Amino acid sequence: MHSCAIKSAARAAFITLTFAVSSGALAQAQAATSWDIGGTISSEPYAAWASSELSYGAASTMSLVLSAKGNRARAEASMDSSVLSGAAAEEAWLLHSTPYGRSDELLVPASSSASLSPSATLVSLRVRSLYLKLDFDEASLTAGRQFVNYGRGALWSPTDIFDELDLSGLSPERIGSDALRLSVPFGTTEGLDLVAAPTTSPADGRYALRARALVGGIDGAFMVARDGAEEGWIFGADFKADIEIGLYGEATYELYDSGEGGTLRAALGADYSFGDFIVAAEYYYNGGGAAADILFPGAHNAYGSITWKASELFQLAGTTVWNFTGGSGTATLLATYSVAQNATLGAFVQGSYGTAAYGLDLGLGGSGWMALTGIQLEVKF
Amino acid sequence: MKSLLILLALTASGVAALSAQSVDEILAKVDANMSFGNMRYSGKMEITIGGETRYKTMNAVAKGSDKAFAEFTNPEDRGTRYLKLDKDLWIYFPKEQDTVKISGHLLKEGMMGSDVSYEDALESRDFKVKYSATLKGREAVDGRDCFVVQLDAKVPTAAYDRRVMWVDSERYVVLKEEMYAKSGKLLKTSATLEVERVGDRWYPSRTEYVSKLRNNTKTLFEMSKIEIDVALDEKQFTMTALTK
Repeated sequence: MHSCAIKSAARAAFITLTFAVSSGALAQAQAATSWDIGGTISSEPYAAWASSELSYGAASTMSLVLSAKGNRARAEASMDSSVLSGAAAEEAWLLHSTPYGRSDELLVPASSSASLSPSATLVSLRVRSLYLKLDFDEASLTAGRQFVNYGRGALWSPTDIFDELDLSGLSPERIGSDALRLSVPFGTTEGLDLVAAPTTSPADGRYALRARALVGGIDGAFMVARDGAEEGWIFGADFKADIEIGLYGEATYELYDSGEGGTLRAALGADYSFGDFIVAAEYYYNGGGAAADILFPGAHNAYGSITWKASELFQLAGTTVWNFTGGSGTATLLATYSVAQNATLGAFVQGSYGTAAYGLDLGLGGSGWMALTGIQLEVKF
Repeated sequence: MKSLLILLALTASGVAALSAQSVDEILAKVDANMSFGNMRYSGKMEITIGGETRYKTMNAVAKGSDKAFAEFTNPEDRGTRYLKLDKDLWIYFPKEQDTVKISGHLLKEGMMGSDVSYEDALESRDFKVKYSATLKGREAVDGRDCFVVQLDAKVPTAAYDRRVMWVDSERYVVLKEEMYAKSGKLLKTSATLEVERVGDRWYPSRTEYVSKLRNNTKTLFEMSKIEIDVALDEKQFTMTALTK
C-alpha cells in the first residue's frame, strides 16, 4: 500500500513536471525567433542471399525534422516514415515480433485492404525525437523523447543505459528515450546531469545522475544510476583522451538488491588518422550475457573501421563487428559519392557469418553466411 | 618587360623601406588587422573538386585564438556545431543529440572536408606570439606592393612550421601565403581575393585555399557580416551552448 502510494505520487509528480515544462516551452516557442524544417529522402534497394536463396527488398524513407528555437526554449520533432517492400518488409515483420525490434516503430500495411503479414508491403513510422527544452542560466530542462547519449563508444556504450541500439539498418543507430532531463552546468565544460525515464510503474524505470568535467585535456564523467527493472544500482565512468591517438573507454558495474554477483560491462576504443585515412577500433566486454545486452550477449566483442576520404565527394568505409564468444560477425563495405549538392549515392556490400546480422539469432537466415548488396540514394533538404 | 621593370623598381624602392620599417613593425601591423578580441561572422565555403562544387554555410563567433563556436546552416550539415576551447574541440551532431570530443589528430584535417583549417576559420591570428619573422624582400601581388615575410614557428602550437606571407605594404593584409611542413614540403597556399574595411582595420573577406596534399581541390572561404570586438556572451563558449 505504502509502495503503491509512493509510485502514484512519483508518477503524478513526473506528469506534472513534464506538463509544466511542455507548457512553458510552448509559450516560449510561440515567441520563437526561428522555425526550421529540414530532412532527408532516401531509397535503398538491395538483394540478399541467405540459406541458398536470393531475395530482393527496398526501403524508401522520408525523415522530417521540425524545430522551433527561441531565446530560452527549443522544441523539436523528428520522424521517419518508410515504405518497405520485399525482403525489407519481411525482415521488419520478423524483427517486430522479437526483442530485437525497434521499440519506437509502428508497422502498418501499405494498403488499407491488405493485412499485416510478412508478404505485404509495409509502412514503418518512427518518432525519433519529440521534445521540449527550457534553458535557464543555471540549468536546462528537457522533456519528451530525446537522445540522452551517455558514453564515448563508437558502437558500444555501457554507460548509455537509456538509448537502445538499433542494428536493423546498414549502420547501427540509437533510439531515443522518453525521459525528463535536468542539466546543470558548473563551468565551461563541467556539469551535472539528472535523467529520469520512468515506466508505467516508476519504480521499474531508470534514473541516473552523471557528473562530467574536462581535466588536463581528458574529458571524463562518473555516473550512478538506479535500474528499477533489474532492481540494481549501476556505477559507471567514461573518458576520452588524446595521446597522439584518440583513446576512450567506459565501464559500468551493476550491483543487485538481491546480493547476487554484480555485472561488469566495459568498452575501450581508439581512433587515429593519417593522410586521407581514419581508423578506429573498439573492444567490448559484456559480463552479463543476454540479460545485460540482448544485442551482444557474447563476452568478447570487437569493432573495427577504416575510412578512406579520397575527397570531399568520394568516401570508402569498411567496418566489421565480431562476437568472438559466439563466433559470429559482420563486415560492411560502403562507398559514397556526392553526386550533387545535398545528394549522395552509395553502394554497399555486407557479409555476415553466424546466425544473422551482427551474430543475432533473428531467424532470418539460420546459421552460416548471409550476403547483402545494394545502393543508397539520399537527398537532404 | 613592363612588369619586370615595375618589379625591379618596386624591389629597389623596397630596399630603402626595408631599413625604414622593421619586420616586427610590419608583423605588428598585420596582427593589428588580423587579431581580434571577439568576432562574429557568417561564413560560406565553396569547395571545388575537379569540376564539381559544393557549398557549406555557417555562423561563427570567436574569442581570440582560444575560443570559437560555429554552427553549420546548409541542409547537409544543418545544426552541426563546433566548440573549440584552446586545443580541445567538440562536435555536436543534431540527429542523435550527440556531443563528441574530437581527437587532436583530426584538428589537422580540413574543416568539414574543405581545404580550410580550423585555425583558418575559427582563430584569431596573432603571428608575433607563435612565429619569429624575417623580411625577405618586396614583390608585387596583383599589382599591389607587398613585403615578403617568412615566419618560422617558435612554439609547438603553431599550425605550420614555416609560412611565407606577401603583406600588402599599404593595408597590411596578407594577400598571398604559402604554408610549409617541417620537412619543407609545401602543404597549402592561400590567396586573398577581397579585402573589407571593418571598423578601422582591413580584413580579408574572401580567401582561396589550395591544399597541395590533394589533387584538383580548392576552397573559397567567404566571410560576411563581419563584426569585430563585439560583445559576446561567455556562455556561448560552453558545452551547454552546443546542445542549446
